[in-house]
Amino acid sequence: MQIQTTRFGMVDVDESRLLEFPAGLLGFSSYKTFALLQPDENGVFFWLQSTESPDLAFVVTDPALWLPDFQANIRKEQMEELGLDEVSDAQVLVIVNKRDQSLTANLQGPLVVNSSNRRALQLVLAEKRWSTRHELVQLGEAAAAKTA
Amino acid sequence: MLVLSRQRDETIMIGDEVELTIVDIRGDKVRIGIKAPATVAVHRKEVYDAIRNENQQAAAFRGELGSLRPRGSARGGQIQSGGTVLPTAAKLAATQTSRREIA
Repeated sequence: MQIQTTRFGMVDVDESRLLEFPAGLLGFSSYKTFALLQPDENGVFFWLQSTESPDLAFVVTDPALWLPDFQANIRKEQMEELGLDEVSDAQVLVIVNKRDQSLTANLQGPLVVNSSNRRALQLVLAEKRWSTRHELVQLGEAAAAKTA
Repeated sequence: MLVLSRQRDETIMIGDEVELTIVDIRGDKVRIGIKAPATVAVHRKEVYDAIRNENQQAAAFRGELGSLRPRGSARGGQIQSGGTVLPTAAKLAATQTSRREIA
């Protein structure tokens, strides 16, 4: 299907690859369907683009690439909501933000995707260990790494 | 806002299924026990607000970085969605307790 996006124009997305967030994201509960766009094959950032609002998109990344010991805890009821039998069937992503000259990740509100049915939700972790603004990288470094 | 006075060990019902019990009162700190169906999300408001605010700011991120732009999409070009089943390596763990007391 073709979806209209503000950032990337028309994008062709395989319908079988859309993610469903039945509860939406916190603060965006009315947007339920997103496509995960892959900027380049070796990239570590992805765009989570709403199919319902051309302007709504989030940058996401795999937290394990940045913090090998990051772990999200999910409750049994939340696993049931996702239709998730085993935690190993899930993928975890975190939303990336830009703050001054840093890219930060929201580790306290990670996204969990059931890989088999592509149903997803945003967790709210109670652990104070993970912040909503964990610095991933300074933008200067990101640019240097890109040209290297 | 409805304001009720309660003493220690007294409870407030919200609907048929949500119970708030005053567990302990010490100085300016109150411990509240919450019984709610598993489908009702219970969060400390400041944590919920922090995540919501972060989402709202992240949604305004335009991704000025060249490295963040999908390849070939400079002007409405065609890009394919990546595999939604990402090989993320982040760990997810099932918690044993279904609901903890919120202090």
